[in-house]
Amino acid sequence: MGNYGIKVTKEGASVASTDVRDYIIHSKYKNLKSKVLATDTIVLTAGQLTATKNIAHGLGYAPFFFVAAEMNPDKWYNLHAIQTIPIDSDPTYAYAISAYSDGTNLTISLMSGKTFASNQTFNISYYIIIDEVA
Amino acid sequence: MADYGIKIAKEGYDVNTAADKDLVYSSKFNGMKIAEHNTSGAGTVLHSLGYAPMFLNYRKSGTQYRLDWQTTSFVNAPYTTNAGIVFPNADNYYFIFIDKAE
Repeated sequence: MGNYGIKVTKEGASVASTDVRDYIIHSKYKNLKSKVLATDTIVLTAGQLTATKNIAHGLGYAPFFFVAAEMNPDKWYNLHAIQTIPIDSDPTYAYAISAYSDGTNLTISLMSGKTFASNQTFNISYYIIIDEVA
Repeated sequence: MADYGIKIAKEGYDVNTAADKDLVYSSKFNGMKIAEHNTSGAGTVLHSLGYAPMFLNYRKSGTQYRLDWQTTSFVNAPYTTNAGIVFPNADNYYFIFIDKAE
Protein backbone atom coordinates (compact mmCIF):
# COMPACT_ATOMS: atom_id res chain seq x y z
CA MET A 1 0.00 0.00 0.00
CA GLY A 2 1.28 3.47 -0.75
CA ASN A 3 2.03 5.92 1.99
CA TYR A 4 -1.39 7.46 2.36
CA GLY A 5 -4.34 7.20 4.70
CA ILE A 6 -5.00 8.06 8.30
CA LYS A 7 -3.07 7.28 11.46
CA VAL A 8 -4.10 8.33 14.94
CA THR A 9 -1.99 7.27 17.90
CA LYS A 10 -2.87 6.75 21.51
CA GLU A 11 -2.09 9.61 23.87
CA GLY A 12 1.64 9.71 24.51
CA ALA A 13 2.63 7.71 21.44
CA SER A 14 4.36 9.18 18.41
CA VAL A 15 2.63 9.07 15.06
CA ALA A 16 6.02 7.94 13.76
CA SER A 17 5.79 4.79 15.87
CA THR A 18 6.36 1.55 13.99
CA ASP A 19 4.38 -0.41 16.59
CA VAL A 20 0.83 -0.77 15.28
CA ARG A 21 -0.41 -1.29 18.85
CA ASP A 22 0.27 2.40 19.45
CA TYR A 23 -2.49 3.38 17.03
CA ILE A 24 -6.17 3.94 17.67
CA ILE A 25 -6.80 4.16 13.93
CA HIS A 26 -4.37 3.01 11.27
CA SER A 27 -5.81 2.85 7.78
CA LYS A 28 -3.20 0.34 6.68
CA TYR A 29 -5.26 -2.16 8.65
CA LYS A 30 -8.90 -2.96 8.19
CA ASN A 31 -11.22 -1.79 10.94
CA LEU A 32 -14.28 -3.80 11.89
CA LYS A 33 -17.32 -1.81 10.85
CA SER A 34 -20.63 -2.45 12.55
CA LYS A 35 -24.16 -1.47 11.83
CA VAL A 36 -25.99 0.12 14.75
CA LEU A 37 -27.17 -1.95 17.67
CA ALA A 38 -30.39 -3.81 16.89
CA THR A 39 -32.70 -5.68 19.21
CA ASP A 40 -35.00 -8.65 18.86
CA THR A 41 -36.33 -11.57 20.89
CA ILE A 42 -36.09 -15.34 20.88
CA VAL A 43 -39.05 -17.33 22.20
CA LEU A 44 -38.87 -20.72 23.83
CA THR A 45 -42.32 -22.13 23.29
CA ALA A 46 -44.13 -23.76 26.20
CA GLY A 47 -43.26 -27.45 26.44
CA GLN A 48 -40.28 -27.17 24.08
CA LEU A 49 -36.58 -27.65 24.85
CA THR A 50 -35.15 -25.83 21.84
CA ALA A 51 -35.67 -22.59 19.98
CA THR A 52 -34.02 -21.03 16.95
CA LYS A 53 -34.02 -17.42 15.81
CA ASN A 54 -32.97 -16.44 12.30
CA ILE A 55 -32.20 -12.80 11.62
CA ALA A 56 -31.76 -11.99 7.93
CA HIS A 57 -28.80 -9.64 7.41
CA GLY A 58 -28.99 -9.19 3.62
CA LEU A 59 -25.23 -9.09 3.10
CA GLY A 60 -24.79 -12.19 0.95
CA TYR A 61 -21.78 -13.40 2.92
CA ALA A 62 -21.19 -14.60 6.46
CA PRO A 63 -20.40 -11.54 8.58
CA PHE A 64 -18.73 -11.06 11.92
CA PHE A 65 -21.20 -10.39 14.68
CA PHE A 66 -21.57 -9.58 18.33
CA VAL A 67 -24.69 -10.94 20.03
CA ALA A 68 -25.89 -10.74 23.61
CA ALA A 69 -29.00 -12.26 25.18
CA GLU A 70 -30.80 -11.41 28.41
CA MET A 71 -31.23 -15.00 29.56
CA ASN A 72 -31.96 -14.01 33.16
CA PRO A 73 -33.46 -10.66 34.20
CA ASP A 74 -30.89 -7.84 33.71
CA LYS A 75 -28.09 -10.33 32.94
CA TRP A 76 -26.74 -10.18 29.39
CA TYR A 77 -24.63 -13.05 28.06
CA ASN A 78 -22.31 -13.00 25.05
CA LEU A 79 -23.09 -15.59 22.43
CA HIS A 80 -19.74 -15.83 20.68
CA ALA A 81 -19.14 -19.29 22.10
CA ILE A 82 -21.52 -21.94 23.31
CA GLN A 83 -22.58 -20.66 26.68
CA THR A 84 -23.91 -22.58 29.64
CA ILE A 85 -26.21 -20.33 31.61
CA PRO A 86 -27.93 -21.32 34.85
CA ILE A 87 -31.66 -20.73 34.91
CA ASP A 88 -31.95 -18.35 37.86
CA SER A 89 -35.54 -19.36 38.58
CA ASP A 90 -34.48 -23.01 38.80
CA PRO A 91 -30.67 -23.32 39.11
CA THR A 92 -30.85 -27.09 38.85
CA TYR A 93 -31.16 -26.50 35.13
CA ALA A 94 -29.29 -24.48 32.55
CA TYR A 95 -29.59 -23.07 29.08
CA ALA A 96 -27.05 -23.70 26.35
CA ILE A 97 -27.06 -21.02 23.70
CA SER A 98 -24.89 -20.17 20.73
CA ALA A 99 -24.92 -18.08 17.57
CA TYR A 100 -23.54 -18.33 14.06
CA SER A 101 -23.74 -16.49 10.78
CA ASP A 102 -24.00 -17.66 7.19
CA GLY A 103 -24.63 -15.91 3.90
CA THR A 104 -28.27 -15.27 4.78
CA ASN A 105 -28.83 -15.13 8.50
CA LEU A 106 -27.48 -14.53 11.92
CA THR A 107 -28.85 -17.56 13.75
CA ILE A 108 -29.29 -18.00 17.48
CA SER A 109 -29.79 -21.50 18.79
CA LEU A 110 -31.14 -22.11 22.27
CA MET A 111 -31.40 -25.36 24.22
CA SER A 112 -33.05 -25.46 27.61
CA GLY A 113 -32.48 -28.07 30.28
CA LYS A 114 -36.14 -27.89 31.20
CA THR A 115 -39.47 -27.10 29.66
CA PHE A 116 -41.76 -24.31 30.82
CA ALA A 117 -45.51 -24.18 31.17
CA SER A 118 -45.64 -20.87 29.31
CA ASN A 119 -43.68 -19.26 26.50
CA GLN A 120 -40.37 -17.76 27.60
CA THR A 121 -39.27 -14.65 25.72
CA PHE A 122 -35.65 -13.49 25.86
CA ASN A 123 -34.33 -10.14 24.69
CA ILE A 124 -31.38 -10.24 22.33
CA SER A 125 -29.21 -7.47 20.96
CA TYR A 126 -26.72 -7.69 18.19
CA TYR A 127 -24.24 -5.88 16.01
CA ILE A 128 -23.83 -7.15 12.49
CA ILE A 129 -20.29 -6.37 11.46
CA ILE A 130 -19.99 -5.41 7.80
CA ASP A 131 -16.76 -7.37 7.48
CA GLU A 132 -16.75 -10.97 6.33
CA VAL A 133 -16.00 -14.07 8.32
CA ALA A 134 -16.08 -15.92 5.01
CA MET B 1 -27.03 9.37 6.51
CA ALA B 2 -25.95 12.25 4.30
CA ASP B 3 -22.99 11.69 2.00
CA TYR B 4 -20.16 13.01 4.09
CA GLY B 5 -17.40 11.59 6.27
CA ILE B 6 -14.31 9.52 5.70
CA LYS B 7 -13.87 6.40 3.57
CA ILE B 8 -10.67 4.54 2.80
CA ALA B 9 -10.73 1.60 0.41
CA LYS B 10 -8.56 -1.48 0.42
CA GLU B 11 -5.63 -1.38 -1.98
CA GLY B 12 -6.87 -2.09 -5.50
CA TYR B 13 -10.41 -0.80 -4.89
CA ASP B 14 -11.93 2.51 -5.98
CA VAL B 15 -13.18 4.28 -2.89
CA ASN B 16 -16.10 5.67 -4.88
CA THR B 17 -17.43 2.27 -5.90
CA ALA B 18 -16.05 -0.21 -3.35
CA ALA B 19 -18.54 -2.31 -1.40
CA ASP B 20 -18.69 -1.52 2.28
CA LYS B 21 -16.86 -4.74 3.08
CA ASP B 22 -13.96 -3.61 0.90
CA LEU B 23 -13.39 -0.45 2.84
CA VAL B 24 -10.55 -0.32 5.32
CA TYR B 25 -12.36 2.42 7.16
CA SER B 26 -15.72 4.17 6.84
CA SER B 27 -17.15 6.74 9.20
CA LYS B 28 -20.59 5.57 8.06
CA PHE B 29 -20.24 2.65 10.44
CA ASN B 30 -19.68 2.33 14.12
CA GLY B 31 -16.35 0.97 15.26
CA MET B 32 -16.42 -1.12 18.41
CA LYS B 33 -14.67 1.01 21.00
CA ILE B 34 -12.79 -0.53 23.90
CA ALA B 35 -13.42 1.03 27.29
CA GLU B 36 -11.21 -1.32 29.27
CA HIS B 37 -8.85 -4.23 28.65
CA ASN B 38 -7.61 -6.04 31.71
CA THR B 39 -7.42 -9.31 33.60
CA SER B 40 -9.60 -10.62 36.39
CA GLY B 41 -10.11 -13.59 38.61
CA ALA B 42 -13.55 -14.87 39.48
CA GLY B 43 -15.79 -12.07 40.68
CA THR B 44 -17.32 -8.83 39.46
CA VAL B 45 -15.48 -6.10 37.57
CA LEU B 46 -17.38 -2.87 38.11
CA HIS B 47 -17.72 -0.27 35.38
CA SER B 48 -19.31 3.15 35.44
CA LEU B 49 -21.04 3.12 32.09
CA GLY B 50 -24.58 3.02 33.45
CA TYR B 51 -25.69 0.33 31.00
CA ALA B 52 -24.76 -3.25 30.23
CA PRO B 53 -21.89 -3.05 27.74
CA MET B 54 -20.73 -5.61 25.21
CA PHE B 55 -17.63 -7.48 26.27
CA LEU B 56 -15.28 -10.18 25.07
CA ASN B 57 -13.60 -12.56 27.43
CA TYR B 58 -10.76 -14.98 26.91
CA ARG B 59 -9.89 -17.52 29.55
CA LYS B 60 -6.37 -18.73 29.95
CA SER B 61 -5.77 -22.46 29.87
CA GLY B 62 -2.07 -23.21 30.11
CA THR B 63 -0.57 -21.23 27.28
CA GLN B 64 -3.88 -21.00 25.43
CA TYR B 65 -6.43 -18.20 25.49
CA ARG B 66 -9.93 -19.31 24.56
CA LEU B 67 -13.09 -17.31 24.10
CA ASP B 68 -15.09 -17.95 27.25
CA TRP B 69 -13.34 -21.26 27.54
CA GLN B 70 -15.38 -23.97 29.15
CA THR B 71 -14.30 -27.33 30.48
CA THR B 72 -15.85 -30.52 29.24
CA SER B 73 -17.94 -30.58 32.40
CA PHE B 74 -19.22 -27.10 31.51
CA VAL B 75 -18.95 -24.03 33.65
CA ASN B 76 -21.20 -21.05 33.94
CA ALA B 77 -20.82 -18.21 31.47
CA PRO B 78 -19.84 -14.64 32.35
CA TYR B 79 -22.44 -11.93 31.88
CA THR B 80 -22.80 -8.18 31.76
CA THR B 81 -25.08 -5.90 33.78
CA ASN B 82 -25.45 -2.16 34.09
CA ALA B 83 -23.09 -2.31 37.08
CA GLY B 84 -20.34 -4.69 36.03
CA ILE B 85 -19.12 -7.83 34.32
CA VAL B 86 -19.59 -10.97 36.38
CA PHE B 87 -16.98 -13.70 35.89
CA PRO B 88 -17.94 -17.02 37.51
CA ASN B 89 -14.51 -18.46 36.78
CA ALA B 90 -10.84 -17.53 37.13
CA ASP B 91 -8.19 -16.47 34.61
CA ASN B 92 -10.13 -13.94 32.58
CA TYR B 93 -8.60 -11.61 29.98
CA TYR B 94 -11.41 -9.29 29.06
CA PHE B 95 -12.35 -6.37 26.85
CA ILE B 96 -15.23 -4.12 27.87
CA PHE B 97 -16.65 -2.11 24.99
CA ILE B 98 -18.24 1.32 25.10
CA ASP B 99 -20.96 -0.14 22.89
CA LYS B 100 -24.11 -1.39 24.54
CA ALA B 101 -25.22 -4.99 24.93
CA GLU B 102 -28.76 -4.08 25.92
